[in-house]
Amino acid sequence: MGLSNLSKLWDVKCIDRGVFYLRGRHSCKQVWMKWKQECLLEVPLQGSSIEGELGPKISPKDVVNGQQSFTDADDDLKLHHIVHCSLDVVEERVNNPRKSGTTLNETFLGLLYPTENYKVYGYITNTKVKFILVTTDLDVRDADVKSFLRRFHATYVDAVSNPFHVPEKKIASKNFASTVAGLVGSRALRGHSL
Amino acid sequence: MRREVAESCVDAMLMEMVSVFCHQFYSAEPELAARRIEAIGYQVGHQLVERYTMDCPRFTDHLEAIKFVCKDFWSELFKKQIDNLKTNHRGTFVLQDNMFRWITRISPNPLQENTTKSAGANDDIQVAQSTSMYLYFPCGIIRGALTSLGIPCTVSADISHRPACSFVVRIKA
Repeated sequence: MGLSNLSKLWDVKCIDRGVFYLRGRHSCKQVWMKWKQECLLEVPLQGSSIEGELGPKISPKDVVNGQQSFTDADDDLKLHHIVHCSLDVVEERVNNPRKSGTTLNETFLGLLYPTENYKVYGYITNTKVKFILVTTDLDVRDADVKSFLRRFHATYVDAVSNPFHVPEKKIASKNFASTVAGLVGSRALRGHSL
Repeated sequence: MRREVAESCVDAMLMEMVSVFCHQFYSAEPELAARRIEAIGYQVGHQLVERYTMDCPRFTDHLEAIKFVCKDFWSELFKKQIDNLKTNHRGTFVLQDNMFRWITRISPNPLQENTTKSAGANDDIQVAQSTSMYLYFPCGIIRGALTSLGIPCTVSADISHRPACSFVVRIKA
């Protein structure tokens, strides 16, 4: 199915493997639903994108997440695809800890896989929330990514601890968005200076 | 930065919550009140565990997660660990706290002044019933914590040996 077709519709489209893609005609908000009652939150900024996925769900409600996007639609879809594929890698790492060697029982899962233009890193919390970092910076160091994801995790925890936050729904906190934007910005800056 | 909450505030809030749900909102349906209180506890547990597991290594099995609840999680909430953990290795865990803070200050027999001594046995049942309303909240917290760690379960409480309190966790297959 063509992208141009997709962008005209406010519709549910099945991309593959139970992932549905919803897009509004008049807004840049995109909505994701996954079969297994999982949810994605996403803040892609200037080529880097972070996604969180909530793990096993209790209520099979529709999980809806808006997002800020600074990339064009083509890029968006590609990033979504990468992130979705990497979830399989995350699952594999978690279920077969022997293969991943040193990362045993660590929340940081390390480099999931490199693609031509991106590097994909994974992080999973004890509460089965997965953060996927996709970066265009191919020279990035694992230690930097690890500390970045740790700080992102702290930000995420602060955001979901808000009693007005409804679990498994979109994080509507402006503070969260600005802190994440700051984090992404600072990381990009450091990348340039190195 | 650690921020602390006065214990008396938590006690007062728990009392108020139970009284509001039992006597105002759902006075006709105690069953529904219990479920509402449990649901509040569930959300509290769900969100707290997110913070408290932040620096923990990943848990590989159910027992590790339960141990986390018994040790670290309980210490954060009640400044003590669970005193006794029993399991049948088939998905049932009994967490026993010999001095459960939230029920230590509940009067054992508030009805004694109003009724004659003859109704002793009846009183006991009533007291057990009214105290059990206060236990739905901690049950909900445990269920919320474990569920968000990936262990769907049901939690019930037993206070036959006050002030000891046992929480029975049954993991759903």
